[in-house]
Amino acid sequence: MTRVFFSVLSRIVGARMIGLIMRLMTALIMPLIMATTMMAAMVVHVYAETRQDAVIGLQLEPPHLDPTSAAAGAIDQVLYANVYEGLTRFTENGDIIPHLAASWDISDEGRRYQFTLHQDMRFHDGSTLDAAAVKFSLDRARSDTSTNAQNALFQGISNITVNAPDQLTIDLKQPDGNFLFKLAWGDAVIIAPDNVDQLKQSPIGSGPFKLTSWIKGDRILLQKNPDYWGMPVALDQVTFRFISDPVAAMAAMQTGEIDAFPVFPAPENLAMLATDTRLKLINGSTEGETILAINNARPPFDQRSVRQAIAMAINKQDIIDGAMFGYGTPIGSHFAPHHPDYIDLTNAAPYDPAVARQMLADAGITDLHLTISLPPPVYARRGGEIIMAQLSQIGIKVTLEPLEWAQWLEKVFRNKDYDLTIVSHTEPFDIDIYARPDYYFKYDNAPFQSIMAELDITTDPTKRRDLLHQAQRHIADDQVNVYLFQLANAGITKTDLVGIWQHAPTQAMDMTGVYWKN
Amino acid sequence: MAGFILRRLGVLLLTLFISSVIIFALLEVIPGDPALTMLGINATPETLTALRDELGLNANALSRYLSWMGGMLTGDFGLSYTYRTPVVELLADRMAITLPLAIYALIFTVMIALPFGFLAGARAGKWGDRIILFLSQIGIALPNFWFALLLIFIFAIQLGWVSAGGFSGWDKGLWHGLAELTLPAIALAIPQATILLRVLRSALIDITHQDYIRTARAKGLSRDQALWRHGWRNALIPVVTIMGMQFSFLIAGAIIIENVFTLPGLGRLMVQAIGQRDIILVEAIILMMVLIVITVTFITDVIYALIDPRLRRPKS
Repeated sequence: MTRVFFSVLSRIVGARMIGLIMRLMTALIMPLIMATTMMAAMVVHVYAETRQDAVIGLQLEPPHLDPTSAAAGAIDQVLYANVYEGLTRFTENGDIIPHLAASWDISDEGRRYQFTLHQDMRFHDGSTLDAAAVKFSLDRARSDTSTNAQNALFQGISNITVNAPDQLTIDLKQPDGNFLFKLAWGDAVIIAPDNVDQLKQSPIGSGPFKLTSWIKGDRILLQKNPDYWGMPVALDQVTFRFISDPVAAMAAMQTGEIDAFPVFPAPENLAMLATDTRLKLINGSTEGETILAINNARPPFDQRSVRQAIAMAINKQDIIDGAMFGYGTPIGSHFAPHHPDYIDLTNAAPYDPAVARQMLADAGITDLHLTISLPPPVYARRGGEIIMAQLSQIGIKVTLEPLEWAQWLEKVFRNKDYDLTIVSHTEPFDIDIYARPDYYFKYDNAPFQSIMAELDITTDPTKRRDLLHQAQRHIADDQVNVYLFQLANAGITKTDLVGIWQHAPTQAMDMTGVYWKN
Repeated sequence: MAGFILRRLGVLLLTLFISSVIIFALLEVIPGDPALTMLGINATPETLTALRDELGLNANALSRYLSWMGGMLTGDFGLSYTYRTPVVELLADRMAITLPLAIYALIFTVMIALPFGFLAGARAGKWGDRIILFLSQIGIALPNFWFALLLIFIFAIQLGWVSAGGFSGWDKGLWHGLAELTLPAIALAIPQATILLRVLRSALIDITHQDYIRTARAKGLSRDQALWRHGWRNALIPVVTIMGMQFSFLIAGAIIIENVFTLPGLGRLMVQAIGQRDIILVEAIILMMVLIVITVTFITDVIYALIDPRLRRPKS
């Protein structure tokens, strides 16, 4: 029938005309189809309800769910503030605010903290969260047999007394200007005393979300806690999905299965993803000071001028661009740029290969051959290659030694058997590691140790600020390590999802303030 | 037949024992302390000692080996260092994905390889054979992870038919689970199928030139009838050999596909466990894989004997 129609038609108007008609029809119909589809999509959009759930991508799965007995950051990422709470907590910008504790009084020259807890707080199993539970949790964390990874946080506590169900006194061995900060850590959360045995698989916390299921290797589901003592949260359900493969993470963002991937495993693809208007970049700061650590006890690195020469041969921005695709902020000391007491010391060792070469010559060093030990993260592996090239500019021969984490911990960290290494120190406010003479970079310096000892017992903010400035300058002048850059918190989120932390003052994915914009 | 199976079973147990010694010894000498790996760089020495005590890492190697083996014999594989759950549960969770995936992929493999392999072998040199050969050449050259990405790009990102990865468990029903495993199974199966197909084809071509086929043809059977009645069974021996090896590969070697599709399978568990120095878990997984590989070899041997009665007698 159609064939007859076209043959008749072609006889009337000619074959060329038919082509033209067909093309015209396509030109008309295609936009029509597209417009209809778009209208349909808009209609769907108008009638779609605001979502009450969110799917968050994480690179690493927690090995278990007890934040008080492992260093794995993934545990805190899932549970901190969502399921477990402490007396104080971190905010997105790193401030410390009251949490389970409603208020406190400090007396006895900073040695005594009297906390008043909120009323009627309950754990997810219905049991009461009172001063006795707080005492139990903190005593457990500081005991001799404790396996708390941050056990040192609690060593200043001398005694904990319960005065009333909502009243608690903590006595310290000496004043500690940082005590409220220490209580905000994920390792200092309050756990239900009855639940200690099941802590690792079924966590019972007091937070606005509770754990509903954990499909091992794939996802963890949290559900809103209807009986939450504090401000109710917007989301009914949060799913954490664990995807470490960069390509799989890309695919999951492109299909829209994942709503936000705050620490994205493939920073090189972020710019491309962000061209999609439904997605936007997360580009904030973390507590990770990334350093080229130097074995200060091993000659010739025990000479300040050699360390200085190495530092001046390194162009930090090149490393940020080459290894981290531009995400990261150069630093000049072991201190986070977003901290209020930060001072910019990036000019303490300016990039100047000619001067660096001269300094090496003046120190009588010729033909220096060194090894850089590299743990698995990309900042180390890619950064190591760039540093190798930069050091060769001043005549230093470099061997790169890639290590697994377990090997790195054993060889570099515990046995201190290394020349140089690259690692990011992700603990917040950890400049005090330079006061530990036996720490892996072997920096034993009495003046710095006394600055830190004084800081420990100082509670006056102005004096603390002054001491912190001194401390930053001291280790920058001594050039203990080469301070490379502050690790960025680089990720991607759907534009309509509001409230994902931009910065990461601690390893947390705080979902309590997250909601969908209409 | 019973004697044959008993002899094979003895070899199986001996292999298992020797493997356990080698695995334990190898993991004993690699550097890395599970306790330090778990607690990180801020832990105090006292905390480390407390954890090492809790994990039983302070005992000497021989007594740890003996208690490990003793536990194994009574079905107790121990407690994972990092996950702090029984190793058996972890293995069972992961096997619930790896095993169905391997079987699913093997079914695809066989469904593709047998008909096309038979067709190509029976029509060697003809057009059908040439096209199949050409396509199988591509299949062999295709790296399976790249093929997996291609599948994700087409079916998940462009068409949106399936999710880009992940596995939400068997609780949602058999079909839901199988749907999530279909792309990974195809990605695993295509390269395997093309190999198997070529093995079957060349086996059939060999057989076509055998005397007994010529005799059968001389009796008046057509070429296809002769191949079907007398050639088929003989061609199966190399096919079964390759299939056994492929099944072992699908269990132990699916790690890359598991990563691309973020499936929580056995391979991914092992990589994580090695990174965290969860030695007790690594030992159990490797031993498990050894057990699977030698069991598959054992089953392959039994199938040989079923196909070919000549193999049932011990060599004299």
